[in-house]
Amino acid sequence: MMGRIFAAVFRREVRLAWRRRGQLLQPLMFYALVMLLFPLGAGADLTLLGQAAPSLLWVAALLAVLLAQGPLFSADLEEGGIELWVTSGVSLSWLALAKLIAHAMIVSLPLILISPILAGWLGVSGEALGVLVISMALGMPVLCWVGALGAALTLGLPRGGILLALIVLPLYIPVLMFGAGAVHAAMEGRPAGGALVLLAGLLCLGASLAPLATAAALRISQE
Amino acid sequence: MLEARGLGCARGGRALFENLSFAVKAGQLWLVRGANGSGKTSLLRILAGLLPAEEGELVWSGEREPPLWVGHRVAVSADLTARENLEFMAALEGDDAGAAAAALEAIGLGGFSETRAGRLSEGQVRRIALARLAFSARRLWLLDEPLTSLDETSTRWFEAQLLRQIERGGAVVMATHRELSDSLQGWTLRLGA
Repeated sequence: MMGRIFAAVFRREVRLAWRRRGQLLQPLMFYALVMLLFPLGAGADLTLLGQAAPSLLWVAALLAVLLAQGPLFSADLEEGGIELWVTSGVSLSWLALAKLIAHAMIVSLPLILISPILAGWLGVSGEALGVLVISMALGMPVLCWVGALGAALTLGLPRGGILLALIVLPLYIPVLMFGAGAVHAAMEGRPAGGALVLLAGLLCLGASLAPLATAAALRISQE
Repeated sequence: MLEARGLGCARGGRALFENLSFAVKAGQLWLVRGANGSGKTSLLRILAGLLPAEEGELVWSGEREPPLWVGHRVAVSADLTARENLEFMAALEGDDAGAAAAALEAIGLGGFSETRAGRLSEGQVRRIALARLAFSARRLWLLDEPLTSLDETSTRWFEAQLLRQIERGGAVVMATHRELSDSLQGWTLRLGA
């Protein structure tokens, strides 16, 4: 029963994301454009580019994720989907968990997949590319979940977007530091394992706390 | 089934209703009536657990059960087809997809099951949400203005569902401005009087 409900929510989210794929394109375009334009602006200094690449990739990806958060619950609020969830008698945290996992996959996967291409454009190569992909696979879901919590908290507020960024950005900093740090370390030939393990820890923390917090925020949004 | 004791609600600094007590028993139909802004929606939202009761309390006889809630916003996604919307609602109640398809057929939307809800009329969208009534096993139905923009055929279908729910020992609390057919006898709760 719980598994079937989880699958139903997950399927619904993936279907909706596909139907509204224009919305998904926006963060992806933002990410690609920043990475394509930066080298043109920075000039032909390859060492400078190489040094800045990890932080640049991570900052741009982080802001792209932030762009994808605003509309996360807004349609559900306007159409009454959240009322349906709250009154369904099914654990709201369970529904939120399904939605959050779908959301993290839908938003992160395209960004993670184009990252190696964009990183190659900045001169990142070899083992560092692998570390970049792993660090993003571990870190992006955390960014999505923290963002989703922010979106749930600011749901229905006028100009909630600014407030969302204010709530969420401080919580993004550890992910950014460990993510970019891991790639930096790999580029300089130092072991990146420590930073990746810390990212994995954040991922576990996010997966266990985000659904509970998001569910509480959604419940409050109805009052 | 559900008893309200001394319920009170204030919205925007204005008291909508105070000291409201009533008991909804199995097999009863309650009609909540009152002018616009008299607190019908707030009362139903309190009963549905969407709003906390600021004053008074709700007492359930037996275990607290989730009600079936069809609010003013009907929880139908414009980007999903009629069938997908209803199948999701059925899944939340633990029913399978077959129930949803049959219900769409019954409410006269069989030909629109693969049409996105965003392209349907307001009345058709409401019918998608109300099609849940055909398969829902929930004992308490809370309906907020369910008849808005429904045509005559659908209204008759809806009244038949109400009758079925009451006869099998369920209960319905609904807010409405419209008159129901004579076969449906209900208790009236008048707000703002």
